Amino acid sequence: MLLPSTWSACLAALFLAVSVRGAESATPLAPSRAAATGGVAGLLLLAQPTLLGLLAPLGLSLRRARAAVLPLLLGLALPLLATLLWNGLAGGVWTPISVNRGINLYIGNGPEANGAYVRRAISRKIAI
Amino acid sequence: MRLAREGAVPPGSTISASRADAYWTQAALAAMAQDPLRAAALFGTKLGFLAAQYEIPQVESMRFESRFSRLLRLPLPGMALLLGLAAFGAVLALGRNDRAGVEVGRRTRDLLLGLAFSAALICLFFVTGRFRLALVPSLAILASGALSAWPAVSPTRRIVAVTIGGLAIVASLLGARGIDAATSDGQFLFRLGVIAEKEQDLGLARERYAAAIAIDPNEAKARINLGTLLAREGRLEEARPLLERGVALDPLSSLGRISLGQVELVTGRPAEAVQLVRGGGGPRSRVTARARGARLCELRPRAGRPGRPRGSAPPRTPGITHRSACAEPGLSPGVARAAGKRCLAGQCPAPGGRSVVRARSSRAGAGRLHVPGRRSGCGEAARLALARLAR
Repeated sequence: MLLPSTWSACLAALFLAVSVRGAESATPLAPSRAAATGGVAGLLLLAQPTLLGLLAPLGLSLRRARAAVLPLLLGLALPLLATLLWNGLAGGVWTPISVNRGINLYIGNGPEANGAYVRRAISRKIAI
Repeated sequence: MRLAREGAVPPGSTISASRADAYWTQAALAAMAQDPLRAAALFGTKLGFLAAQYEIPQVESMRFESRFSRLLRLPLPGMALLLGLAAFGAVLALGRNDRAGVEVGRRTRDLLLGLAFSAALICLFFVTGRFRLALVPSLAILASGALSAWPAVSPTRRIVAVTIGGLAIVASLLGARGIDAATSDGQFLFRLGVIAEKEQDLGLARERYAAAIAIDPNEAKARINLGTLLAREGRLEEARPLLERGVALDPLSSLGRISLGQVELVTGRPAEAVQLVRGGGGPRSRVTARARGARLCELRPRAGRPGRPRGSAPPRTPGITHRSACAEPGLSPGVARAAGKRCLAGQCPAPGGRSVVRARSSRAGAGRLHVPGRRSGCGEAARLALARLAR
């Protein structure tokens, strides 16, 4: 079984490869390539949502390729839409990625946070 | 996520995952708003962790795991070198003065922007080694930029790049000071203590638990295990503060609650003991019926230990041993849980009963037999704990 961090590292490398290749191309970004780049970006966000920042260079490069924006956004939305439907229909939770943002935010910033993972932060609150 | 959902509602209630998510988000934001300076300092700490050489574990210590793997013991370059080379490459790439310099500089800025944004998002939550793994490809690209940029920059820029790269390495090496001992070495020693305890080297186990506590005073598991060991030896006055602190740090620890409950019992505080052993936290407590039942049943066979003449074969009496009843490896959780609930309620299955547990002919003395229904589970536990600790 692959851990999410393995997926996210591989997808980050793949995303950088496809986006840099697209940026280096002399011709405008083809719709199919833009959609593929968006798809990889969507998978990257699914693997680790905090990597949203890595998409910033892509957004900046789109200033010169406005025609590629729509296919890229469609490619980006496809994996997120698939998980939204799956989560909603199978689990009853209509969220595209996950619902552990709040608990992770609490572990990282709650009264007992030390910057790293603190399990007792949750368990203590539950026992109160 | 189950913990998150349980913690977000009153006992006995249920909540949807999305509402639990909103609850914890609000709790986190409230904590941040209550003390913004602390939140800002915490963010800075997390930035330091993100750039530190040390890989902060989430569950198990890498040092501990490396005992079993030569691959993990290889002295591979870590985050410090990568970060230093990336800073070196970024400074060089931004200072190129050849024809391609403008384009390379623009892409370097974009990449740095993406890295900074992602790092900030990661640090908004909590940091462990695995969360920063996905930043490695971007850092590697920046590091490789130095190769092409070196000939195309001025000597002054090279000196600046070397200086900044060196500072980044030093900062990365220093960035995890303290967290290493707090999150890893304490856990490492705790695990060694568990191994020593399983090997029946109780003196060594005590030493290791104590060393773990000395490194990390909040290492609840080490406190609970050490307190339990001391309680079993009858050193109740030393065990009590360890167990109390351990349970305060980890209120969901079933071992901590049960051990402290036993100490309370033998020191004449049965009400506190019952509260602790039954979970204390109500329906939200993770002190499972299985754990409680297993512990109560564990005590029962020991009660009748004295009395059999040395060398004489024990009578083969049909009985339910602790292992067969509650905690036999391989027993399905459902069966064990059901058995545990019955034991807790003082309704241990009758000898020979096959509906819940596997009854079998065991080498149990007559005094070991538990008579169902005669005492409540906790009353039985009190009597047996007294007998056990009095030995």
